Amino acid sequence: MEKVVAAILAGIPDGAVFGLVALGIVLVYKATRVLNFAQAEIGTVAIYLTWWLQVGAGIPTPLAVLVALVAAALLGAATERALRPLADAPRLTVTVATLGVSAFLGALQFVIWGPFPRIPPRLVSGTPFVISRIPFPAGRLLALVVTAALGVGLYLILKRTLFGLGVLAAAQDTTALRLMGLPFGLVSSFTWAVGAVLAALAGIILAPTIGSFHPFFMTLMVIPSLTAALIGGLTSLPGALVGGLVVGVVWNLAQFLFGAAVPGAEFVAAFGLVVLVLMIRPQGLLGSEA
Amino acid sequence: MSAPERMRREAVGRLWRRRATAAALIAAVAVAPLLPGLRERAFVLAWALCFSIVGLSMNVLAGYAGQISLAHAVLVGTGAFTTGNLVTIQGVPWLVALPLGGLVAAVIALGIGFPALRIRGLHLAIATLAFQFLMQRVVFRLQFLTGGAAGVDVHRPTIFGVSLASNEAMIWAIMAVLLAVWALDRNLTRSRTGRAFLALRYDEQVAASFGIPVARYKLFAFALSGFYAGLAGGMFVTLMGEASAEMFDYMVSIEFLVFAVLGGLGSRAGTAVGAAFPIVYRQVFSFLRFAGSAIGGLMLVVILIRYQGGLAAQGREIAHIVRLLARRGLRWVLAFAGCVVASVGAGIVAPRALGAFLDAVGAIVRAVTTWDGRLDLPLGLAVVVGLAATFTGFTVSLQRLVRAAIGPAALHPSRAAVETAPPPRPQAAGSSELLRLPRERARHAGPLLEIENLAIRFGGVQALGGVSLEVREGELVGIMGPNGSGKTTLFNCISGFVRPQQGRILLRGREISSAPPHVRARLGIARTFQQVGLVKSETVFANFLVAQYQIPGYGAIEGLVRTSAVLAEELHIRRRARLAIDMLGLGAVADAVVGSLPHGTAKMVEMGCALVSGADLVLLDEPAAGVDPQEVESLGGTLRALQRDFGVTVVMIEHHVPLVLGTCDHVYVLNFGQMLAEGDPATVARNPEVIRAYLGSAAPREVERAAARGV
Repeated sequence: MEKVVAAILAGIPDGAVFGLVALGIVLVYKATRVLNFAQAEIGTVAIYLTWWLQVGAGIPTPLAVLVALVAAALLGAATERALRPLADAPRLTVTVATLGVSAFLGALQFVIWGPFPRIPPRLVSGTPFVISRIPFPAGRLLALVVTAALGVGLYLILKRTLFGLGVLAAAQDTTALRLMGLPFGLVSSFTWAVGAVLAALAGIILAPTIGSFHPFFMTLMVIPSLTAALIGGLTSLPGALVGGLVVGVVWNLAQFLFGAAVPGAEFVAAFGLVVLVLMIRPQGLLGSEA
Repeated sequence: MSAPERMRREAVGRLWRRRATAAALIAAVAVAPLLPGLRERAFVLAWALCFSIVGLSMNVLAGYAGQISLAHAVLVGTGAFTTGNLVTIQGVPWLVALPLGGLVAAVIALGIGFPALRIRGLHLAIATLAFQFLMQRVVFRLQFLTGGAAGVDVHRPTIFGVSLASNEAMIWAIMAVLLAVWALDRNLTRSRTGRAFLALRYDEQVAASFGIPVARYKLFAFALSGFYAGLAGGMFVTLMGEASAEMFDYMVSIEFLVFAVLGGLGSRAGTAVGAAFPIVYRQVFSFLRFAGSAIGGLMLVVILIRYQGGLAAQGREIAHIVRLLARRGLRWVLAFAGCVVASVGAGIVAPRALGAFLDAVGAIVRAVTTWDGRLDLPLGLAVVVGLAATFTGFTVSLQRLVRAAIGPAALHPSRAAVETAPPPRPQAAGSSELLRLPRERARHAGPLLEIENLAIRFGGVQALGGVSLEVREGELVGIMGPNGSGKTTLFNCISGFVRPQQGRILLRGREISSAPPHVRARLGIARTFQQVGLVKSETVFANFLVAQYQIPGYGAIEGLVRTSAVLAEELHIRRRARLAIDMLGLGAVADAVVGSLPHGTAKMVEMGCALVSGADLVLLDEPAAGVDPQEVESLGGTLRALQRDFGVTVVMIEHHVPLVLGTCDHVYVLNFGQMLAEGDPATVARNPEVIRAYLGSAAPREVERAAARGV
């Protein structure tokens, strides 16, 4: 029983990471109705950049992380700019194009850095916190702290600034947005950049807690994060975070209970949950009618 | 030679050229494995052809019916395991096991498609992905179904005395299946099933208004797609000699969808080539290692940015350019291109030369992409970027070059034709028996349509508050009323898109209040929408065929096989479509896409579609909206004549008061959801309530005169 509780508690920091990636998925989906698969691999590129700058060039970790995040933002915006000719195309076509970008970036990591697993720089050190005999490594707790801080920060930007309201309005009506004088291009570039930064941050936090990373590392995050976004409602930012936590717990629990018998039980469990939610409440836990 | 004769000859010529091209292609693929250079690649070619079948399967579902599946790997797997088990364990003959594999996959596909009745788009994609995981991770690992981790083995069979042991023989067998699926698919697109898919993908409400049972067709699309995928799986397991759960991972499913989109959803050739593309690409460019995948990803993006319709659109454009060049006497360009193709072909046939070339490129690439990621990074990147840029440049510049050479207008000739076409001038003279369908529906002594005390409330708004009306057979009834008076809501209630909270609707004395829209359409109610309810992505002619969904009596399977009965019925509805198009004066725009037409013309097309649909009660929502003011004068006479020619009863909503009062037999006036007045046009025009609420304080002269004319 204690182990079950441990599995549930361990799922919470994982869920925070899923939630971060899901937040990016939701933000891009709200503004442009596209599932951006490219941002996961932009995240992996950011991990590589951090590692490269810190290990290879000896740049202090915080600075390396900052540079990597800026690079991720630029890559995210560049992806949006490159795919803008598809603004009027079916959304499926755009989504497939982002899969192409993701395949390109992932393969590029192979070409540049090779297939070997690398050891990411640690962000925080220190002894694990112990809550009722269950250890929590500091790196995992960092995920929780960063997610909470980002969640609040994003909320303030989106709800309290004119630009943020423009981002939210983009989902409703692009014509109205243009009439308000906000450039639609800038708004969608911004959301894609933020989405990429969130994925990058999730990757940079996650990689040290796992201990190694490799090309296509963040693609493994796509399925749990996507299910988290769907459970939350796909258009709700708080929903993405809640969905992330729910999926994180279910993911770990399924792995712990059935992982030995059924490889990939966590996938089945997460999807079972999604189908259940979609059937009962198609707009998701916190989503509005869409 | 007369013009029609020349057109006919040209059409026959095109047909034969197309047949010759198809025969040449089939022969080329059939002979390919016998060429010395390709013998060792026969396995890959067979594999690619197998995936082409999956491409066609994806096309039925996502291309025609607009439903997304991320579980196709599991469907292929179901076919593979079923065929494998039946052959190896049960000893069933291979020829019987193969279609059985398809059938089992079709049943599974029905299960996958069930959520499609409730959810669509992205949510549907995720629901099918969930199914993919459940099947592949749990069901496919069950020992008694799939042999567990060991998988299922299949020995290549001998059919009709031909052993399939060699890869060449497998190619021919797979080609036979591919051609069979291709033929079925071709028949499908020419049957009413194909048109039903088209309509439901475009707009489910429009589809229902033509009497198409949307839910049933969605499930049929899943089942048919599953059947094809299952056949592909049976061929796949025979080719590979074994099948295990790992082969049907979710990434495979995602790839099936990705490459169907790359190929071009909706296009048979596009999706077939698209699905085969990754297999061939990976084999040919394996020496590039990861750089090959990077270039592949970039190619995908570039093609989609340049051609939203994928490889199919690219192919169409190249074919168009070739035709233009040929017509302009630039045959030397074609000759040059032919030389390039021939030399590449020679390279494939003479493997040493090609091999040496590929080895040289490979050596360069290997030299510059070492994996320690220090010194050679710029060079490695340069190679990737260079190759990708070459390809991108080729794709992007192709059309620009041609445009610069021969001018932009030549590239889009069809668009110009629509803009210069004159507005339609209906010439409803001389009725035709072809258009009046034999009325099988039982004659009813009472009114055709009766509405009793209909009431509906949307939130706080009483849209209709106890409205009653009657329409007799052969009448032309007008409904007037200010904006928001409930006219369109009334139509929505009659055609079944909105359920009233109170009241009854009777058609020929039979209550239809709870029937869904497509059933009401089948009972004989057709309607038009204010915003034109047509498949706007298709041509006028195609819409006239979609609209006649209910007229042919053949079933979906007959349509697939294209029996002689199907041919006769298709000919019948084509004749009716042509006749109706001519009568409505739409001949000039018959081949134009509806979305490109001016609003007034599109309204006329929509009215024509309602008239040919075989309905006996036609509801017209503002037929005069968007029509030229001068044309409205004649619209009344046209409506009368069309009503007579098609033998239908018409109810129309119209704001144009003189038109209603001058044309209709009986007029109802709605105001705030209440029936304000009813009667013959003269009575209504003199009704003081109507004058006050609707026409202003005093009836304009014009109205008086129109009323006088109408009586």
